[in-house]
This record gives sequence, C-alpha cells and structure tokens, in this order.
Amino acid sequence: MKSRYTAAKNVFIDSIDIDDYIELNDSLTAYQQLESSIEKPLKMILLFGKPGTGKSILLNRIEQRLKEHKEIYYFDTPALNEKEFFQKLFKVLTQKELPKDYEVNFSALADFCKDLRGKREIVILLDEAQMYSSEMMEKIRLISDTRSVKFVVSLHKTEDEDLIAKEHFQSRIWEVIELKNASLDDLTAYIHKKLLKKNLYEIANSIKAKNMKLIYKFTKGNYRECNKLLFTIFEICEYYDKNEPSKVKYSLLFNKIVEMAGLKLGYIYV
Amino acid sequence: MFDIKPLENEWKIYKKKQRYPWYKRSIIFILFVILLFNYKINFSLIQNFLYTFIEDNAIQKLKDNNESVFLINPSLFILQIKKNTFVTPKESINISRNFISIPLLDNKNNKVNLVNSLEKKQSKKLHIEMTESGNIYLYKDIEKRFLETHDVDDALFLAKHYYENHKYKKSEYWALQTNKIDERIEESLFIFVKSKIKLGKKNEGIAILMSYLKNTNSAKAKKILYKIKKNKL
Repeated sequence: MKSRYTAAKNVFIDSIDIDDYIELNDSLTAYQQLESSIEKPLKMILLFGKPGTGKSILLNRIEQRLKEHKEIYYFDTPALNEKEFFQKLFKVLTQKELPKDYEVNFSALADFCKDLRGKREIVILLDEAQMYSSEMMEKIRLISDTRSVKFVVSLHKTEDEDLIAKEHFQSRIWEVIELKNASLDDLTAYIHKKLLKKNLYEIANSIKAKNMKLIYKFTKGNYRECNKLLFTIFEICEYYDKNEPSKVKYSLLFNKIVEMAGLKLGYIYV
Repeated sequence: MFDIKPLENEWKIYKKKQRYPWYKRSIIFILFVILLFNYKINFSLIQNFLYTFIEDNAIQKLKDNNESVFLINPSLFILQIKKNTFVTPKESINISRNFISIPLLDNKNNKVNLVNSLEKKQSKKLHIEMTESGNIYLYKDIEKRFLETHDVDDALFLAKHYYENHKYKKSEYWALQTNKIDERIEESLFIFVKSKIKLGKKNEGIAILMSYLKNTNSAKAKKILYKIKKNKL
C-alpha cells in the first residue's frame, strides 16, 4: 500500500537538482547579486555560507541560466589532486581531452589563458573550494590574474575557511556574497512551495505555524537540515499511515511527530 | 522503515523531562502562595495587636488630659488606619484628634464593655481570616490558646470548623468543651449531637436531644431531631 506521505517524503530528499530549486526572497537576492558580479570585470568572486545554505544549488542554477549565452562551467566535486584539476581545466579551456600519460604544464596553461584575453570570457564555478589545497588555490589565483578566466569560489563558512579566504583572496576578491540561513517566513515558504510544486496541497496545509516554529527551532533555518527533518517527519507519518492510521491526521501535523523526528535526528535529546 | 516503538518511548521520556521544570515551578509557586497566606495571617495578627495598642494609647492620652470620653465607634479608627484614608463617620458629633468624643459620660462600666466588645470583635474577625486561609496550624494555635484563655468563642469556632470539615471526633470534643464553659449555647449541643450521629452513635444522639427538648422545647432541636429520624442530616 502506498501512502500519500511517501510522495511528501521524497520531496525532501536532499539534492542539488535544479528542478527542486525554490525561489525565495533571500535566494533571489543572492542570485541577482551573483549574476551581476559575474557581469562585472572581476577576477574572483567568493560565495560563502554555512553548509546547507544553498550555495551548490545557487551555482547550479546560475550555470543553467547563463550557459546559453556564456561560457560557464560548474566544477561540482573537488578534484582529488592537482593533476586531475588541471586536466579538467585544460579540457574546459582548450576544448580538448588531454592525451593519456600527459600532464598539464602550468606555465603553458597560464600563457594560454593570457592569449585568450579579449577573445573568450570563461567563468568557472568552483564548489566546495575549501577542499582544495593552498598550492592549488595559489595557482587558481594566478590563472584568474590572466583576466580571461573568472572564478566563482564557493566556500563553507567556518573559522578556518575564513582564514583561507583571507590568505588567498583578500587582495583579489572584489565581490563577496554570503548566504545565510533562512528566516522563519522564508523557511515556511520554502517547505510550502516544495510541497505545492508536487501538488501536495493537503499536506502543505497540514503544516501549521506551530509546527513551523518547532521545525525552525530545530533546523535554525538551514535548508539541508530542514530537508532532513521533513524527510524524517514524513517517514514517520508514512509508517503511521500504513500501520497505525489513528495516529496521523491528514489535515494536521502533530508536533509529537516533529519532536519524534527531532529526537531521531539528534536535535533534541532525552 | 525503522522500528517506531523505541522512538515513541524515547519521545514519552522526552516529554516527561520537558514537563518536569513546570511541575517544579508549580510546586514552588504553590509553596510560595501558602507562605504568602501564612505571612498575611501573621501580618493581620500584628495589625490587630497594633490597632489595640494604638487605641489603648489614645485612650490613655485622653485620660491623662482629664477628658472623659469614650469611643462611639472604635472600628472607624481601625478603618482609617487600614485603608489609609480619612472617613468622616456619620455618627460624629465632634471630631477631635481623630476620635469621636462625647463629653461627660462618666460611665466606667460602659467604657469597659465597649473595649471588651471591641476585643471580641477582633477575635471573631481573626477567625474569619483563618477560615479563608485553611491552614491547619492556625487551628492548632487556637486550640493552644483555648487552653490558656478558655474562650468559649474559640471552642465553638473549633467545633464548627471540625464539624464542617467532617472531623467529627474533634467537633464532638470541642462542642463538649463549649458546653462545659457555657451550657446556654444551644449550637454547641447541636454540634455535639450531630457529631455523635455522624460517628454512628445515633441512639445516644437522639437521647441527648430528647432530654434537651424536654427542658427547652426548642424549635431548632425539633428540626434536627426530625432530620436525624429521616436520615437527612
């Protein structure tokens, strides 16, 4: 037997699928800011925020929107080593595969980039940039200095990563975009819009203000945490719906279930 | 899907723990209220003492000035202090030093009676306040006080209180004490009889009431006898 909560649960599977993107006031502002920064003659743009604030999905969205009229590339997972990264970069810049057993000569690559100045404008979106070593970051900086390649560097915001930002980009980054956790209103809109996008009107309406306050309290407005919590909430609802239907009500989400999900995920403790 | 039962149990423990501070706060609040009531009663005792002290002083002062006066309505004086407002009494003739005085009524007995009745009034007022508080220690205090003063009002008050609170052994005892001091107080006899009935000594209660009826023909006693016989007490 399939429960109607199954569909609701699947809405909150954490992904950076562009189809799942929800336009909110804050994310719209960040998007517009990033888009306008890309248009400016900047070498590097720093996009930072706590994990789960929507950095990856924002980079994804900008790539999807601009790829038709701009040379834009999204490097989602960080390269394991320098060799792999420059192979990737070589492919993007030269539009050719690097022959087997060959390595990229960095100086030659930098010269190649200098030659591209005024001919091509390449934007590279580097996600999870905190994973790159400082040597690699230094080389990325040198390539950005050629002005033919613009890097949008996405970083997690922690004290250490702030240091990275200071050391490597302080003198070069001219635009910093910070993504923050959602407000209660934004989080409410996010959850409702996500459910409504899949036509789950009744379930969206069952989440009342008191539920939202509790969800917000647990997740502190973090989208990833919110997805995790909502997934668990609907997983519990799904179980009850199938096995003990008297314990769920379609028109109302009990705070008991939210608290149970909170306990399961460790937001609250016994 | 995970097993939901352990999660449900965990939630129950969580809720219990979450409510615990509320229980604690409620208990503290109740204790605070009880303490506050106690304090209030003690405060009223102090107040009563203070009023009597002020009145005695005032009377003494007037005596020292060779003015022969008595208080028409001493409670007005208390009222003035209590509410911190000055009330002009309707019965006033002359107002002097906050006292209502009528010169040359040199009746010492009358004066003493009035002072005594004032004390009695205060004592009764104290009983009313204690009834409101519902504090058992205060009844113990009255019992102790009775041992010293043998005040019939105290004994009757205790008899009534214990009867109303279904403590019939105690109400029987205090009704008897009242009757020992003043056998004319009909109410003490009725409480005594009613307590007997409540304690299951119906025949004994009826016999006492019948013998009382022979001597007095009291209508109230007849009414109680009727209620006892109809088991409507």
